[in-house]
Amino acid sequence: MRLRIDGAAQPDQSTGTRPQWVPVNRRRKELSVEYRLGIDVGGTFTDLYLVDEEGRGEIYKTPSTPHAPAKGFFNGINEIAEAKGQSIEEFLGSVTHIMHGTTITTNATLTGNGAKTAFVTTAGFRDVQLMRRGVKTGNQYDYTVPSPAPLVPRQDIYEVIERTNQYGEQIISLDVEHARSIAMKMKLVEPAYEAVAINLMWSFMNPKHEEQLVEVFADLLPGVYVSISSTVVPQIRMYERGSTVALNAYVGPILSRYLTDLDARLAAVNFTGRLFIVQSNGGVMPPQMMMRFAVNTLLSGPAGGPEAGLHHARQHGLDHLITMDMGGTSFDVAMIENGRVTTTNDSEIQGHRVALPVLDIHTIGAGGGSIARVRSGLLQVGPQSAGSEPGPASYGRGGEDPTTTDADLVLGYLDPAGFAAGKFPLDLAAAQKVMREKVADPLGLSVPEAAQGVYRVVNASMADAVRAITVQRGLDPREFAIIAAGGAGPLHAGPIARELEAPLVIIPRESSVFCASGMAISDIRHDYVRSFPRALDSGSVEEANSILQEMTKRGRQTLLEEDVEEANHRFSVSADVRYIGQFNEVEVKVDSTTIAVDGLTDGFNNRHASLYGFSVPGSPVEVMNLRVQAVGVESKPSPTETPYAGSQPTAAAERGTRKAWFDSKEYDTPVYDGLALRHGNYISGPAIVEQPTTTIVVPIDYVLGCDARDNYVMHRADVTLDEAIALVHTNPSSSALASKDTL
Amino acid sequence: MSDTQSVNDVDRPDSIQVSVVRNRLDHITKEMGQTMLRTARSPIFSEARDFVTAIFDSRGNKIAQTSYIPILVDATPWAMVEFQKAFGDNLVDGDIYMLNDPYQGNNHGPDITIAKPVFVAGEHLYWSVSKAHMIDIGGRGVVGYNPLAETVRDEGMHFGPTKIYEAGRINDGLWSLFRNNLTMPDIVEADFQSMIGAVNVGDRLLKGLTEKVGRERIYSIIDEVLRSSEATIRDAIRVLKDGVYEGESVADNDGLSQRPVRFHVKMTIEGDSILFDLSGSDDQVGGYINSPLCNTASAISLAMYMCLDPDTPHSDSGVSAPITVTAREGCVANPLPPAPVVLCTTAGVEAIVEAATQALAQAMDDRVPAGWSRMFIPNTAGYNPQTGRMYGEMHTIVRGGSGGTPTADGYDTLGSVVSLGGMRATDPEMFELSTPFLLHEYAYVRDSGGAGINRGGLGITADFEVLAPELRSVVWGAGSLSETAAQGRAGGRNAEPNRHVILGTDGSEHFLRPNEFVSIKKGDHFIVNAGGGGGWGNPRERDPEAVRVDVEAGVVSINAARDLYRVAINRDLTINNLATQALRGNDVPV
Repeated sequence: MRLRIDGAAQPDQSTGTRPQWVPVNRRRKELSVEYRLGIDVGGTFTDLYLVDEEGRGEIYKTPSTPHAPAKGFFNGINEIAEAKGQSIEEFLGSVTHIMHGTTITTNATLTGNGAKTAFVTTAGFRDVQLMRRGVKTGNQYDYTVPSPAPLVPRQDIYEVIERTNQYGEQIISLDVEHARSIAMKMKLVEPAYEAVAINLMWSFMNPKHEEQLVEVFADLLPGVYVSISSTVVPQIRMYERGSTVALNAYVGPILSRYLTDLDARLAAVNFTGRLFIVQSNGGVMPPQMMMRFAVNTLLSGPAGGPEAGLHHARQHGLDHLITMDMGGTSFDVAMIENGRVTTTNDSEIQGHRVALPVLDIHTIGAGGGSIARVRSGLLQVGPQSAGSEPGPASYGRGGEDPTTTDADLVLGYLDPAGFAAGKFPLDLAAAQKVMREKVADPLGLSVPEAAQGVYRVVNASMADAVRAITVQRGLDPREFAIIAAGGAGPLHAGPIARELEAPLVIIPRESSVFCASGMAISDIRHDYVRSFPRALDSGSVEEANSILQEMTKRGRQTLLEEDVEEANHRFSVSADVRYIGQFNEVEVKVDSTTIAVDGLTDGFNNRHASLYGFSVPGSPVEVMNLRVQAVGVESKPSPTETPYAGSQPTAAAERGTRKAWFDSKEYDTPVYDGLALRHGNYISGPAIVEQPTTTIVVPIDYVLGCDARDNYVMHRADVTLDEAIALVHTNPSSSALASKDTL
Repeated sequence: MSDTQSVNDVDRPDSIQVSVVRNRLDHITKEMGQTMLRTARSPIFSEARDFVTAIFDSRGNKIAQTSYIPILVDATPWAMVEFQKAFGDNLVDGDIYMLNDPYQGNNHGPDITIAKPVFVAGEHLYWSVSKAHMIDIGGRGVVGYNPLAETVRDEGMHFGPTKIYEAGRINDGLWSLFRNNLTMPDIVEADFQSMIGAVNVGDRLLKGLTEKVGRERIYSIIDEVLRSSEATIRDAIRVLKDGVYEGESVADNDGLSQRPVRFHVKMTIEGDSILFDLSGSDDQVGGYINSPLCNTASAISLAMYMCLDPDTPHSDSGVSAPITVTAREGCVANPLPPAPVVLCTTAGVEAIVEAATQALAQAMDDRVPAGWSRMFIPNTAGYNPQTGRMYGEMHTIVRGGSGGTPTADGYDTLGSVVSLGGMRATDPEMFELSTPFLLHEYAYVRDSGGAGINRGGLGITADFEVLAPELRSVVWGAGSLSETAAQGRAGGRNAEPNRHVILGTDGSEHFLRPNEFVSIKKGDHFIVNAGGGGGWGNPRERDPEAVRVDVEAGVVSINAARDLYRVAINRDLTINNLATQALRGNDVPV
């Protein structure tokens, strides 16, 4: 499937803060066009987004090939080359960067098909990983289901004799002979181990024993992927660190094989540009390093989204954003504050903790496939999903439950014949039937009323998900512009914005390949962390700063090794801080490359107040972890604007009307062809805008316009675009919301 | 129509809007809880999650709640009755009230309830409520536990309904009086602040919700929420077999004597309502296991919800309507003051839940899990030379397994039934960082899970060495006797009881019984063994492959496989089919 966006261009960067487009590979300077290519291999589709240095974008989609992901990757590239009438070698000759997002590690983890892994730990602590700190996941009252299977089963967990204490003192030296005998024992295991993860007590305070073990295993188990916790995540909390290094070992060999293969295949077609892999923190890394830190790809699926959102919003001078990506089974929300995507160090996959910075993407089970049901007279939508098999009833694949997509169809928002560009007709009668049986009749409503109910309930849960990530941080959703993406996002963005009183919704034209478009413009990012559990005072600060300097130096070296010029290096420093005796830390970012007692303390007090409604100025604080993020800024496309085409859409954009329900009434609703809307065109709700892979619903009292980059903007009809933007800026600030109660 | 936008008609609200508002209310209690989780200083809040957040309407209905520890699932309404009685006629915006007196709307003293009346446009509409376990309320115990308490006055300071904030200003005199009676005032003050933060967050969000939905509609929506919950629970009860069922269990002792304390449950199911009568329990006792009716009722609710369909709502007053809990005054399940009570929320609840599930199993045998290992843990406190500060710790890493169920094995080291797996064990490194102990071992115990078709979850052993010169300790709880070890059900085996010992530097061994003070010195080793959960169903019918996998993982021994499960495992960890058939006999398919 190929969708060329004529004349579409990428918006501006905030002026002066980023370097203009500079071709990285100067050998190809003579070529007229140079591209970067974002390739996002998802479960169903491989999305490709090709962008030239003037920001012209092209969208390609090809079915994924889950059993041989590299095939889908090259199918996509071939398709572009064909579309351009070039050979694959010719086409790749004009590509300077391939930014690749892969879910290969995610899938291996979700399906339990990772590498056969051995886990090595301090004697006496064999079961710490299995215990998962003794917490029941899921519904606390549900004992009908067994506890989740461990990543590494107990028989594959080995104990070595050693002990380091909290000061880094080796109170029991590593018994190397015993360790070698363990390694010999491992050699006999069938099927053979492909990976070894090592996590010793307090290893981040003194990694010597872990490093000695690396030598033992490298010697006796040649070819096996060995990963140690003091390298992957040198921070306090044995379970969290162990879980992270176990995941790294579990997916490391798989990612290594895949990337080695990909690299060879790219070389075979003379690709001389650079390949980068997308990480869970939204940045990219070269393949060689990615293989060592494979765990960093586990949550990278939606990681391109926020970067893309930021890119589009900056053209309107906005850097307070909420990105919403709604697909078939999930609704992913992320928040960007002051141009920074928020990250968390507290995520998990399949119940396994990942203690590394990942984009803070909040996911709820609300998507097109979410099932509606009635219980004791109340309507619930989700979290159960019909997925894509059998899918919504209207898919005609045997789905017998009404879903969000069925409601969208019944309400007239979706065109039964035109869904997915006509390739996939929907069965309206089937949707109406299940809606009547499962929702309308039990509630005593008409079928359209029932469908509106489903639409309202799912929109409200999505609005709650947005509140969860804003209000919980003491922020007001009215201060944010919403970026809506994903196949189903633009169908629901209007009512969600209305519910949240968000003044502005931006819908990127490449909404359906949102992540791939963000990947194409990602920066290189390396996160460094070091545990430093100390009270914050003038003595410890000095020590902390020398550790920070060391980490910064490592970042600088790594970036230089990756050919990033020093002028394009950016370092940001943060510390995980808490009041002495608290059990959870708050990550506090500082504006310099060092920390100071007063600055960090004030920053922490402010952050604590805005997060939790109070702070305790004067109360001593302690540091748990020190963090440095090293960014290698990649050049970005420089923008061009499309010509202003007047407020009235051309006749070519009009597709007639369709009956659709808005606020309990049926309207003859005008339908527009999104691809035919031009810069400046405005339409009033109720209206429906169709693109081949997404549909936008414009509610009553809202208008939708097309901006200078051909993205859509949606806001209330009683304000202009400029006023809507001004509203985002002037709405009550976060500090006013947080009540600062102190005793 | 957007669902939290105002509308003009004030007719009966439509079911869609009711659904939306109910989700929103639920969400508000979670946002309140999040505030507490992330800011607390004591591990009891942030790790053991021993707290609950709730919203009441001004008529006294509980309309939403998130109970982070299930034993508080029904513990808040009692306090609201007292607040209403004391201040109901004279509420002022900005007031915050507190109480913790077990005989005035509470379960036990360490749990403090605070409530803030929420005003919208000058009208009192809701209460924003938080209830949490404080690490210290004074008294002579260790981290709140005093097994030698003879009256509730030996257990710390107790407030009846008290105005702690008046129109937004804290009552300084009262607060400093409380502080002065504490060993760890700073931690308590910080935790109290996090509770204040939570009720303020609730206040703010409730105001916002009401302004959008409209004052004139909100109560009719709430009525629909309650009606729906009540209908759900009545449906769930109606399918149970009518009749009178009984169950009984004991706790090990009450601290002052070694006599086991008996709780008895008589359950009467009639149509769509249930009556639980605990009058047949022992008379109230001298020691600290007496269970005020507030606690007894919450324990019964917990037992009910863990046996009903897991999706059954349990967070508003509609749910409690068809359930009545009663006990004669003066019995251990409804004591008269000033009997001491601190142990009731753990050992008391565990015995009540065991008794109630025995009764429930007779009415609904296909859903009721086997017994859980009971809580028997050390509290320690004193000067920590490594940090230079005083500390107090409940050793939450010491926890046993949960019971097998009709469809699944029990969960390993999940802890007491009072928390239903919501209590997070402290990470071993964090444990060493904040306490003066060196951990030598922290591991599962082989064969600790009760045998069954579905095995009980595993218990653990831990060995921690004292690094401080001298510490105070109380070991408290239950589950040290064979009758209080996790009980099997439907033919499943009981698990082993909890066993703890202190090894002195001189080689002495002090075997601990629950509920005693012990003094520990540098170099002593605390060796704890928390038992597993009970098994469900006859172990001879367990899938031999599941037994083999357990043997391979080292959690079931070859001997236990042969003797209890009747499965013969070869040395190479394969199943010996012939020998297994011989062991199991012809009546059981292999």
